[in-house]
Parts: sequence; C-alpha cells; structure tokens
Amino acid sequence: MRKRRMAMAAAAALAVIATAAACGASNGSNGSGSVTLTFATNQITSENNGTTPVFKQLISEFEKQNPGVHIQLEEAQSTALQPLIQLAFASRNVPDIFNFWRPQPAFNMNNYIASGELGDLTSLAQTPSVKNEFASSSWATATVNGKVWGLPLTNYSVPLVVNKAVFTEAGLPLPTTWQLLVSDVPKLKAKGFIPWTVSTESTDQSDDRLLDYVLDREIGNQAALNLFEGKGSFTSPQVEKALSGYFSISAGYGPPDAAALDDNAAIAKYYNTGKSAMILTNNVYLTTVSASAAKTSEVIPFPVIPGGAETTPAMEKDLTTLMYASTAALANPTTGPLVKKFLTMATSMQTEQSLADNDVLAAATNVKTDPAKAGQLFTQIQSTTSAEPEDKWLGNARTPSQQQSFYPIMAEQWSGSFSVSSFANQLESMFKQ
Amino acid sequence: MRAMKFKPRYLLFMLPALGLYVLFFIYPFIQTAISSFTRWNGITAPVFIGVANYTQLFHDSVLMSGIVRILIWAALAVVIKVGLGLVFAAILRNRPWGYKFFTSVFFFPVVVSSSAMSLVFTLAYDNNIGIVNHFLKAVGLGFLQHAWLADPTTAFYAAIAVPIYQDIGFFMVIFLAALQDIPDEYYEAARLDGANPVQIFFRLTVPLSLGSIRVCVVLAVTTAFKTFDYIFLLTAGGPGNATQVPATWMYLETFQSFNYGYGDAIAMLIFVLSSLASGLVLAWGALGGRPSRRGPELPRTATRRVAEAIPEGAIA
Repeated sequence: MRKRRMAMAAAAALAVIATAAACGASNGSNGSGSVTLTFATNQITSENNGTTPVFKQLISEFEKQNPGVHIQLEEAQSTALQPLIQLAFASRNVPDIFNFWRPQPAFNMNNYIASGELGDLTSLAQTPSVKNEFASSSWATATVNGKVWGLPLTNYSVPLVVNKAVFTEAGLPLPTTWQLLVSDVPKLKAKGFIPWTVSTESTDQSDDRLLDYVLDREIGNQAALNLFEGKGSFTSPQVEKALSGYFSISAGYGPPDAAALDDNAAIAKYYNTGKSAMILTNNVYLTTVSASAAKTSEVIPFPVIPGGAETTPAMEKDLTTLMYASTAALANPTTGPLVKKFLTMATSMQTEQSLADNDVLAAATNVKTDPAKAGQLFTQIQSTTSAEPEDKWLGNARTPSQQQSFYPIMAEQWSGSFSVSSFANQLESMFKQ
Repeated sequence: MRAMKFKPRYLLFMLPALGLYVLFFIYPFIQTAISSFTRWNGITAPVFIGVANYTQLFHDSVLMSGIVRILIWAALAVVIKVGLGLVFAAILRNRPWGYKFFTSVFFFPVVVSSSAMSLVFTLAYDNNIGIVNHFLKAVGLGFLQHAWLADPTTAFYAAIAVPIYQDIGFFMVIFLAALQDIPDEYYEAARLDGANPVQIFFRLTVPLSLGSIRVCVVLAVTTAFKTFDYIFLLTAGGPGNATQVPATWMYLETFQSFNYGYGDAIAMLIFVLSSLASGLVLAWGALGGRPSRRGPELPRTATRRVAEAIPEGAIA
C-alpha cells in the first residue's frame, strides 16, 4: 500500500513537470495556427510620452491587418530598456522586434552586432519606399561595417528652452549671446531663480548637455569628440578656457536637489512652477513642460562663443531610436515576413507623421508639423532642429564603462565639488589614451 | 512521545528542496566564482584573466569607499535595530496597556515593501514638500532643513535610515519571543533586591537573551552588507558616488558597464565579508560560552539563596 502511494506521488510529480514544460512559451507559432511576435520597447510608457498612443495604434492596426498574429509586449521605462536588451542578448533570447538606441559602442551595440543575434536589415533598407523616407545622415548612423542594422524611427535634439516670463520678472534680457548668458546666470540666482533645470541623478545621465555645447562652441564638435576618444587633452589651454567658461554658468546653478530628481521631475517641480529659467536637455523630456509654461517658453539657439571654433549655432541632434529585429525572427519562414511588415509599418510615413503630431521628433524627412496638433513649443523645437546644422553627442565616443564613471563626476561638478583644473585633470585621467 | 527515527527514505522528501537549493544557490554561486576570474561582457565568450579582477578590487576607490560605508551601516544597524528592538521588546514583554497596539505599530513597517517605503521617504525627504523639513521647521529647527538625498554629506545616512527604521519591528518581534523564555521569577527576584529597570535590563534581560542578540547581530550585519534595493531606489548611488555600496556598484559594473567578470568578483567579495562577519559573531558566542539557565551572577542575597534552592528545570 505504501509503495503504491509513493509510486502515485512520483507519477503525479512527473505529470506536473511534463505539463509545465509543454506550456512553455516559444516564439513563432504556438501550435494552434496563431503567431506571436515579441516586441521589446520603451515607447509605450506610463509617462506623458508622445510615442505611447502612436505605438498602441500601430500594434492594434498590425494585428487587425494580420488576423492570428499577436504582438506580445515586453515593456521597459526609458533607459531600463538597456539592461533588458542586454540580458536578452546574453541569454540568446533576443525579442523578435525591439526599438533601441543608435548602433554605437556607447550603447554596447558593437557587441550585439558581433553576437550574430541582431538581424541584418540591409535588404529591407534598400526598399525604395523605406530608403527614400530618411536622410542619408540617418542611414549613415544606422549603418555599421556596410550593413544596416536598424530602421530609423525618431530623432532627438537638445534645444535651449527659456522661460521668458522668468527673465521678464528678473528684469534680464534673454541669453541670445554668450556675454548675456554669462551675465544672466548669476543674476538669475541672485534674484532667487534657478538658472538651469537640470537633473544630476545618476540614472538619468543628462547633465552633460551644457558641457557638450560649450566644448562644441569653443573647439568644434569633432575636436570635442576627439577629446572623449582620448585623442586630445583636457588640460590644453584652449580646453581649459572652455571649461572655465562652462564653470562660470554651471556649478551651483542647478536645483539644490538635482541629484534626487530625474529630468521630468525637475521640469515639473521647477520649470513648470516658474522657479527655474532654462532647460537644456533631450527634447523627449520637454513633453513634461506644462501648457501654461509652454506658452511663455521660447526656443533660442545656444549662443556662439566669441573667438570659438563654431561661428554659427549648431544643435546637438541625431537619430536616437531605431527599430531592430533578431536574426532568428528574420530567418524563421513564419515570423520573417511578419517582422519585416511590422518594421515597415513602424517606420512608415503614416507612423512618422503620427509621431510628429504627438510632439516627437520623427526621423523621416518629409514630415510636416501641424502647430495646431503639436503645440507651439514643439513646433519651435522642430523648426530649430531642422534649421541648425548637426553636432554629434559627445557621449558617442564614450564606452559604457566610461559613462558609468563620467556621470557621477558631472553630478559632483554641478554641485561645485571641482575647480576648473581639478575637473580637467579628472577628465584627462579618465579619457586620455 | 517517542522521537521519530530517521530512515533513509526520508531523504527522498528532501530531494526537491535540495534540488532547488542546488539550482538557485549552489550552481549560480559556482558560476559566479568561475566568472570572477574572467573578463566577460555577457555576450562574447569569457576570457580567463586570473586574479586580475581581484587585484582591481583594491584599486577601486569607489568600492573601497563603499566598504567603509557598509561597515558604518552595519555598526549603526546593530546599535539601532538590535538595540532598539531589544528595548521595545523588554518594555512590551510586561504587556503594558496597549501592548498589542504598539506591537502592531512597531511591526507594521516590516510588511511594507522596500520599493513602497523608498517612494514614501523620497517624498518625505523632499526639500520643498517633504515632511522631514516641515517638521524641523515646526519645532524651530528650520536651519537644519536640507535636500537630504541630494547632499553628499547627508544622502547616505538619510538613505540607510529607511531600512534601519523599517527593520526595528522585525527584531523586536524576535526578542519578544526570546524574552518570553525568561522566567518571571528572575525579574521578581531582581525587583525584590532593589534593581531598577535599567539594571534589570542590562544585568538580566541582555545576558539571558545573548543567543538571540547574536542571531540578530548577524542578521543586521549581513543585511547591511548586501542590501541593494534601498540605495538604488533612493539615490542610485548618488549624488556622484556618495552613497555607492558594494551591492549597487556590483550592479552598475555588471549591467551598465558590462564588466560581468569584475561584477562577479565584487559579488564574491560581498560573500566573503558577510561570511567573515557572521563567523566573527558566532565565534564570539562560542568563546563566551552559553549563559547559565540559572541566570547571571547575582549578589548572594536572600533572593539568590532561594533561587539556588530551586532545582534546575523545576520551573518550566
């Protein structure tokens, strides 16, 4: 009797294990004729993000056009997508489709490409309807070693947004020249305002924009990129002059709790309440600017520095989000055509126009911004971004390991922990080859 | 009642738990140890580099500062969590008026998740709307108002105040159970001998709960060494690196810098430090011997003569 009971218990355990194994999810067909595609994204978020309604509509439309096909979402918030994709590649379980940043070493994309798990989209990119939609500069960014790895989706830019009402209340002119900027910043603080709406929170990693602009203006974008690639010297007289100018308008001129706030929180807490004067950050955060604050806001070019290398204003901008696919999904005869169709729909003119209507900088070249839909502030951002020449983000030259060391130093610099020379020496030891 | 005799077939029932333990602890531990001797980005094949990662540990100033921080954290955790937990338990042991209410109130933070608690305190520490600054202003200490989590000098202590506060109730409950084992006659005898509450606490309660104190010290210390969530949620290691601890630094090295090998070396370091601390506390217990069930050495008063006359085990 006892032996029969033990045998029945063992059989029951085996049955449970077998059932659990059979129920394991797998990509592609799940046996009942329907197909599931996994889509990892940070474009569908809980924040006030213009991409959320666009992508929800895209997925709904795709599933309607392809009965039996289900998009299984793997959502992440903002930069939390990076460890999600990292783990996916490390475990060789890459989502069928995902959006991600540019295919550059700063985002570890060189290792993803080397793994063989990232799908080659060169043939899809050659399709005339896809190719002609985007500028050659976008395709250049999407191409590594002669192959296209992602389809362009959105751009980003870093516009200088000023709150005119704050400057009026402070009795100061808008910082349309370098001299005015250097003069206005300390006066704003003296009058009880916070000059810069900046976040120095480690996970936000966006407190380097002002440094980027000053270095670009003083020594030029390529020379600044060379610095972070280790090919220049932070302690050279010209760079130290630039750093001196940067320090005069940065250290101590951010919110007192900048280290405890991300960009969205800083804008909501200080800019929207009329306590801070300027924002210089990725446009994706500017959707947090309230309607009332947007009415008194203006986008102005970051001023050139007299005697500097850049004599006309350029804007930090680039392709930021691309659509990618896994090699396995593309090679699968069932999912391959569906993945290509989804990627084409996601980067179509219709989707790009929807993004623009929702205050997102679409990558497509012929997108028209409707001020009635996009709002006055975004229209200004779009037109300024289109008008000014491009400066590359200086972080393109940094490795992930360097990023991890760099941003805490930036946070300390904003709080006034460095002198110009100690900051220069710190960067020199970090980047100089 | 006769004790159960162990039979080999009972091992079969242990196999599932043992299997899970091997799968989720032993195997990952061995993998981590092996990986700590490699340079690995998580994608391409790992490259064996010997003890280079361990050598780098001692040149990592952020990590070394983090180790100092967790030692400070461990010391504060022992004093506050264990100390206050024992004091509250000693007070509640006598079942004063409202003891059930206070037991629940002290224990309530323990059941709140770390993420919820961190969110609450992020708001509480806010320099404008936070209750901490408002309270300071209300009691005339407005000059102490601060951006608690944004100032490098206060961020770490503000961050660790949260888990320390949250766990006091947990240790209190452990001590409450331990103090129930102390016979009431000891306390009566002490009071008859004229001992005041402070003397009773230090000369009776503390020595008789040494076993539980040791366990709680080990828990407090090892928790301080390996806690990640509170620091990550409250400050993410910032401002700058002012609140980095080995656990958060390990996370950043592994998942942001993609230095899996070095991150694993940090993980092994945390394990070694926790084991050392646990070993030291347990060794202290072994050297000190077990406290006598007759109680500590009391003055040879009439009460003690009575206590000595009662055979051991006569009082349950």
